Parts: sequence; C-alpha cells; structure tokens
Amino acid sequence: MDITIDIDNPVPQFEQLIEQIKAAVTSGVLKAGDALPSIRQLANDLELNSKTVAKAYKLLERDAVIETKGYRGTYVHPKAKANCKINLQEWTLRKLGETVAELREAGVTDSEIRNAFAGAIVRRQSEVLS
Amino acid sequence: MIEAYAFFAAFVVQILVVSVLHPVWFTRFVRAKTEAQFPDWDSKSRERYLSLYRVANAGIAVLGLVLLGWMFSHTQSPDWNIVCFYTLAQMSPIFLGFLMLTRNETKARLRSPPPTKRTASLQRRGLFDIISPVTVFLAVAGYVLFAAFMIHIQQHPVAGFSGYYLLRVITLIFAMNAICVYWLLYRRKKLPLETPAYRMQAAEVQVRNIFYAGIALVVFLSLFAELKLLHLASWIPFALSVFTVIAVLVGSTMLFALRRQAEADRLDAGPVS
Repeated sequence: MDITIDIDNPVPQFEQLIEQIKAAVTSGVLKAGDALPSIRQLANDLELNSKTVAKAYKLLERDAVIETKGYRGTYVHPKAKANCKINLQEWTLRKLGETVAELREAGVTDSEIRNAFAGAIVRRQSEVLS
Repeated sequence: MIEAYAFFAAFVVQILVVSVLHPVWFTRFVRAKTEAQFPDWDSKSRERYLSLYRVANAGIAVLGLVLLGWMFSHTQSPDWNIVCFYTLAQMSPIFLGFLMLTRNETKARLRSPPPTKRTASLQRRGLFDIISPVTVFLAVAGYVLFAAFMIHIQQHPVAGFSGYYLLRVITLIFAMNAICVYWLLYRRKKLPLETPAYRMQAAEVQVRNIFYAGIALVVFLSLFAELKLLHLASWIPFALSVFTVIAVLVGSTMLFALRRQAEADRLDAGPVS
C-alpha cells in the first residue's frame, strides 16, 4: 500500500501520515500484526524530516493503532481497527467543553478560565517533574 | 593440459557473457529505466552513449578473441596475469556504464523541480524482509572461516603467498558491501518518477546480489588459496573465468528484474506528454 504526502496541503504532514495509516487500517489494507516501515525508511522515501515521521508514529502509538516492539520494529496493534474509531482530540474538546460550561454557570469569566487552565497545566508539569 | 582446455572453453563463455550478452541486457535496462524515470533525457544523447558502450565492449570482445588465439597457438597454457588484466579490462565498461547512468540520473534530478506530492510504500524494507537470515549467516560465516583460513596460512608460510593480503582485500570488500546494503535500504529517493515498487524491487535485487556475490567471492578466494597451496596454480585462470561468468550472470538478474519493473511502471503511468 502506498502513502502520499502533499506538501502544498495546509494539513500538517504528520497529520496526513496519521490519517492515511488510520485509513489503511480501517479499510483492512493494514491488518493487526503487519510490519510498518521504520521511521528512517519512511522519512527518506517521503523526503521528510525523521522527527515528523517519529511524531506521527508516537501519536499512533499513543492511540494504540501501532505498537513498537523494540529492535524488531513497529507493527499494527492487535486492536488497531477498533482504536482508529476513537478520536482523542474530539473527546478532549467534549470534556473541556463540559468543564467550561460548568465554570461559566458558576460565574467564572473566560479570561479567568484561560489563566486557570494555563496555571493547571504548569502545576501538573511541575508535579510530574518533582 | 586439461586445465588449459577447460580454461579456453570457459574463456570463450566469459567473452560471450561479459562482452556480448551483458551489454545487450544493459542497453535494454537503460532504455526501459530512462523512459520510465527520466523521459526528458534526450534520446539521441542516450543512444550515442549506448553506442559508445557497445563499441567499447565489442572492442574488448575482439581483443579477447585475439588473446585466446594467441594463447592457444603459442603457449598452450594460460597466463594468470594476462587473464587477470583482461578480466579487469572487461569489467571497466560495466563500471563506467553504471557511472554514466548515475551521472545522468543526478542531472535529471537536479533539472526537475521537487515534487509537491511524495509517495512511499508502507511495506517494510528491513534486511531480513529482503533476504533470508540463512543467506546472511552464510555470508558472515564465510567471512569468518576465510579469515581463520588466512590466519592459519600466515602461521604456516608458503613462499610467494600472503594470507593477510587476501584477508585485507576481502575485509575491504565486505566493509564496502555493508555500507552499500545500508545505503540501499535507507537511501533517499533519487528521481521524482521513481515509484515505491521500483525502489522496493531495486533494494531487494541489489541487496541479494551483494550477499550472493560476497559468498561467491569467499568461495573463489578460498579456492584460489587452495590451488596455490596444492601447487595447482595452472587451474587458477579457469577458476577466475568461471567466477567472472557467475558474478556477471548473478549481476544481470538485477538488470532483468529492474527492466521489467521499469516497463510495468511506464505502462501504469501511461503515455508521457
């Protein structure tokens, strides 16, 4: 199966990669356990920076669409087809939307919500680091 | 005497395969590849270059026949040095041909604007996806055994024979082969019209050829050392001829496979406007 990256497309290249790999899994072209090309191979073939491909692979791994088995390489996850249907970005938006609505009902202004949100992220990061 | 006749027969086959058949296969491959991947290369210039290539090979073939006649009528025993020099001369147009092709590929790549749409295959191109672990093991084991053999020879010196020299040569060749394999597996795309299928096919056949040639070289050099040690050096020209023919035939399988792939790519792409 071939994958195409359009550099004139405003969609970021790593997202184009993610979408096409997910489409290949959903359509059954890529099956559970199939081997995927290495980051270096795909980056060289598509003339992309290897960090772009690595980012796409990292996000696909987070979504459990692919799995890395150390030196043996990257494979399609056994539950990849089901996991492709989960859209984390949409889920995050929904969750945050619910929280924002709750805070507004309590009378918190938008700027206060933004400041609190940024503060919560910073606090969480410092908690993780310590 | 039998070794001389065996050599003369093998030498005729060597001239036929290396200087007559290989140029024909190479010419067909170059035509198919250029038409599929860089059609803007002026056909007149390409044909001029191919004619030059064929003339050089024909000249070398004639020289080989003259050499064969001279050895047959005057000495009745082949000279190892002459055969070695002739084989090198026979190989030089092949290397020059590939060098010219690479030069034209580079020029074509520099001429063409970078493509906005880039295609790649989702098929993995790891070493063991291309070649069986047994072949890799055979090549590595061959090298290790050859090294042990050469070290053994060096510890029991034979006049006029240096085991370490052969070991250095084969180490250099194996190191270069390893670099080539790495480059073939992960090289950047050379031409915008090079399809993922062609890249896959090129990596497959070239990596396989490198491993097979490595194994064949270990066998040939071991045989060479054995013949020297057993005072059967008169068989060496025959062994060299046979090795050359085998190496060129194995290398030609790459030309067949890539020509077929280039032709299929051209048919898939449709007529070039």
